[in-house]
Amino acid sequence: MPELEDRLGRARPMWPAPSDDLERQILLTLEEHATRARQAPRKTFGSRRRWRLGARALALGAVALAVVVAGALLNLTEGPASKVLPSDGSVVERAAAAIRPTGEIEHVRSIIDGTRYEYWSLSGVSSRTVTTDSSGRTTQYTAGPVCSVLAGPPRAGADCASTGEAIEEALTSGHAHVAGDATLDGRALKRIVFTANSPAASGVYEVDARTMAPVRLVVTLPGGKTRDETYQVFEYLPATAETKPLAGAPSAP
Amino acid sequence: MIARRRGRSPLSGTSRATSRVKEDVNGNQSDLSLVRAARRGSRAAQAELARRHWRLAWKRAFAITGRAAAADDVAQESVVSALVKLDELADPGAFGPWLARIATRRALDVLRAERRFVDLDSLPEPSADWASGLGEAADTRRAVAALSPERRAVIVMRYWLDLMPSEIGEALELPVGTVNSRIARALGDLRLVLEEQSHA
Repeated sequence: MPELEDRLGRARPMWPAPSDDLERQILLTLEEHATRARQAPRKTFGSRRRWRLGARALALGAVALAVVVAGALLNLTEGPASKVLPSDGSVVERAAAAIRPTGEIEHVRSIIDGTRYEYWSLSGVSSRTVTTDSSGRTTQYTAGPVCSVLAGPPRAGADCASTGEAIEEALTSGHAHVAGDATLDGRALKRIVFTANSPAASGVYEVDARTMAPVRLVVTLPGGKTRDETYQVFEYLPATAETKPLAGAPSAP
Repeated sequence: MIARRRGRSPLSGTSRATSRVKEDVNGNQSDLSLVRAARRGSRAAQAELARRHWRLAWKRAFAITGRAAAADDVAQESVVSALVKLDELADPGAFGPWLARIATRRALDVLRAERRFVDLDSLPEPSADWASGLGEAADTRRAVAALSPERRAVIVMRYWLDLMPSEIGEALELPVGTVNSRIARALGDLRLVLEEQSHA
């Protein structure tokens, strides 16, 4: 392969210079880390015991609070499923309505093959993703808006379909139908089978049987590859000065 | 001199360790002495290590991820991670290569994670900043960008960063034999892609 190796050598890119401001950011991050480490109090036996007692009290309080909050959330807001859904609509229609974007920022936390992904994606602009693998190693990066595998390859960042948009499109394409019930950790689910318009992907989409909130999406791509994703959070946030930095965008308009 | 930098640096804390840092004939501290001082708690030594080596981490990350924004994140996280875990560095004189290894693996993680969102097997657009342009060189770079993350990384490191297979193996924690076979497979993939391009 010497010809190919020569060709690779001729194609060597001109590496750009990184921003000098990055050095300052790195040093500031180091400084913050050092300050946090310095402020951490030394633990004695007595302080550890007090800390354990306090932690137990806090944990009990947190559990009680979580029960109250969870109850309130179930009754009032469950992310995209908090909208009033047509009670007479079919399961597919209700599922499509539940995933419809209600804000500019799509916030998703999910698990794929033991890796946790959490992203905030500002439509047409940018996204920030945090991944945590099974060993607890965390990686964070910013990129263009998140594009769904269901929507096919994006032609440009602004044109790519978000996960929510792509699922809604797949459900309203006329090729989606209910394929029965399922359960996940005791939770009753409705299973919907669909075929996406592009790139001829198909999938199984499972939603909470009561709220129609997204629970699981298994996509089969051309060539037989599958992606199995279980959602923990799927919600939309309005783009405000506070939320835009979450998606890696400047807070100013 | 580290002491002279105190006024300007965000890491301007005082440390007894600073005074123990050895200097060479030009007044520069070796990485070895800086790592030792940093392990003793010298924040100035940590800052100097970061200043010396963050660009290496950035270049490695940019070459692999192909995007400046991702390289910024990877470089920053890698430098901080390396300095926080400094006690794990087996050879205190080899901070640079160690940081480069951390940056390589993080960059590869980012590249793998990005593939979650788009089916790059059929992605016609360049997925790396360095893959844009016209002509044979740009076609070659686009073909490299279309490789799987693992194969793309070994090609970039071998042919564009001029690393030896043994160095690539260290960075990716792979035996040299595996690196060589991965390079061979990546070259085979590249040839196919370029042949398809020429017939298109």
